Amino acid sequence: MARRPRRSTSAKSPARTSTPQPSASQPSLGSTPAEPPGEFTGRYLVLLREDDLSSGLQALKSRAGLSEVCSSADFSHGEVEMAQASDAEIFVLDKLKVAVVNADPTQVQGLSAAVADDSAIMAVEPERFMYALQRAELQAGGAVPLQYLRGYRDAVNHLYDALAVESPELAEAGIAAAFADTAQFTWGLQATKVSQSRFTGRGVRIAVLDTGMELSHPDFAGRAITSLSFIPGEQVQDGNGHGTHCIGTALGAKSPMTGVRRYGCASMGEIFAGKVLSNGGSGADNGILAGINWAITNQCRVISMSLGAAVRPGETFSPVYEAVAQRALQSKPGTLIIAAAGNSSRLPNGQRREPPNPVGRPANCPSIMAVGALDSTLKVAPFSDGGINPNGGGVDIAGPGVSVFSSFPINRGSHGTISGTSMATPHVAGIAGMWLEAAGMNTNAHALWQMLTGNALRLPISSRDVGAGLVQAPV
Amino acid sequence: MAKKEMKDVVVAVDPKHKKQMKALIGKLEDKGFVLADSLTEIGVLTGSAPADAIKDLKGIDGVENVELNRTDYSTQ
Repeated sequence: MARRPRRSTSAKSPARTSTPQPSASQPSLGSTPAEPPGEFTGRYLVLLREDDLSSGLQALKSRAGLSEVCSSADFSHGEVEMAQASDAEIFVLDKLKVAVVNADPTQVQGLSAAVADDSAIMAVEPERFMYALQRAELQAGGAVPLQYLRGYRDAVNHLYDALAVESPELAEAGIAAAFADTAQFTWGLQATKVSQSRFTGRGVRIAVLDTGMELSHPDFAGRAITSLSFIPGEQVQDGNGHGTHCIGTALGAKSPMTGVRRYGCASMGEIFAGKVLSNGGSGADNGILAGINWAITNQCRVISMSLGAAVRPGETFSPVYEAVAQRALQSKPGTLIIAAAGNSSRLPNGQRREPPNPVGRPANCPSIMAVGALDSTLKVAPFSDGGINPNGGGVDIAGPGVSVFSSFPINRGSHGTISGTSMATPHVAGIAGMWLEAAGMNTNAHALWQMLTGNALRLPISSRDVGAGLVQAPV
Repeated sequence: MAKKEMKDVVVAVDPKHKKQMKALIGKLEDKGFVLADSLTEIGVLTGSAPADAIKDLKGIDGVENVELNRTDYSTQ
């Protein structure tokens, strides 16, 4: 995962209304590592045991002889009043299991001893002052090491992620309340903001390599469709349904001719339907690679592959697919390959395996964007595979993948609702087309990757399962 | 003499050898490789080769990688 482009965000941080005088230096504490030079507030950050906050607080009070406690849980929607919090002897960030403590050196010694005693107090460190950085300093790369900046960014993002769960904005966005299909839009288009976007992926060529397409579907009447079958003895016409469903999600119309709700993302994208999986739903390397070659030859900027094969824990990615994906990314202007993480993690009782099974092949290549699946409450789908294997085998981003409504072959009712990381993948592919339109067709594939992950909605879920978070369309 | 067991393979070609693809295919064929498709845009050859010759294919200058053709992909 480390080699993949990652998001860089400017996260919000709570406003500080009380600023104690800096103390220029601070002795290192008992079991904590020596601190680099810096300025400190005089308060201390105490990390409490995650699974037992009350014991941690008890230990904190008894070891430091403090009693006055203020908790972020006392404030509605996480809107902490910093003046009040700063005055408390102990201010507990209950979601983070971190306490900010006003303590003198003697009290701090007691806390440091508690860390060594393996109590419910995990670590103690002096609270630092943080300053806005001058852009010139950043560009010069002189005064502030990049490593430090990354650490600072990650810490702030982590804090924001944890606290923002309580914000009404995110709650309305679906953390607490579920999305649902409406007469106008599928839940997935609402959650990804496709429903609010003015972009349509106009002119962007998007290839969906799958089981083919229902070529007579009324919702695609009048659309230019380029297609080819790589399955010997089978036509592009979709005898399975999976390919038609995925194409619908990636490229379905803004106003479907059949009058159903909108289900497609890049509604004005150019459809390239490559049949690399049989009507029975299976395929092989030679057909899939031939499909990728066809898509790139036709200047497709995005390739969506809702397919995969299982890999074992510890198994590495295919060097052939990785070479192909790297060349695709690096070509001018470049092609982004997006693939389903895999569906093998549901246990017979319906729960998700813990840890999940690893992301399958070829999504496990570092240069292929692996997509995990979310349900309409923005929780990880129980079947969705996770980032278990090293060397790039992680999930990069997530999309709507449970109870997804889209197009189906006419002889199967023209529309249907199904689930899978397969359904999440074309959401990302279609939205990639929308970002290309928004940013300009000259945008290279690396930059497109960054746009998708950098603008994803961060979720209070491990990146092992959802990568950068829920894909979001440009609005 | 028993016929050699053939395996379907995919061969990634070093981009530097893209212009000498014909010569490279000739070297692969000398080792028993049978070409099915030349995917020039992505620098991949598909075909088949005797099972015991696959390691020899990997040793040819200009060949980046050789993998057995996996056939267990499915919809997800």
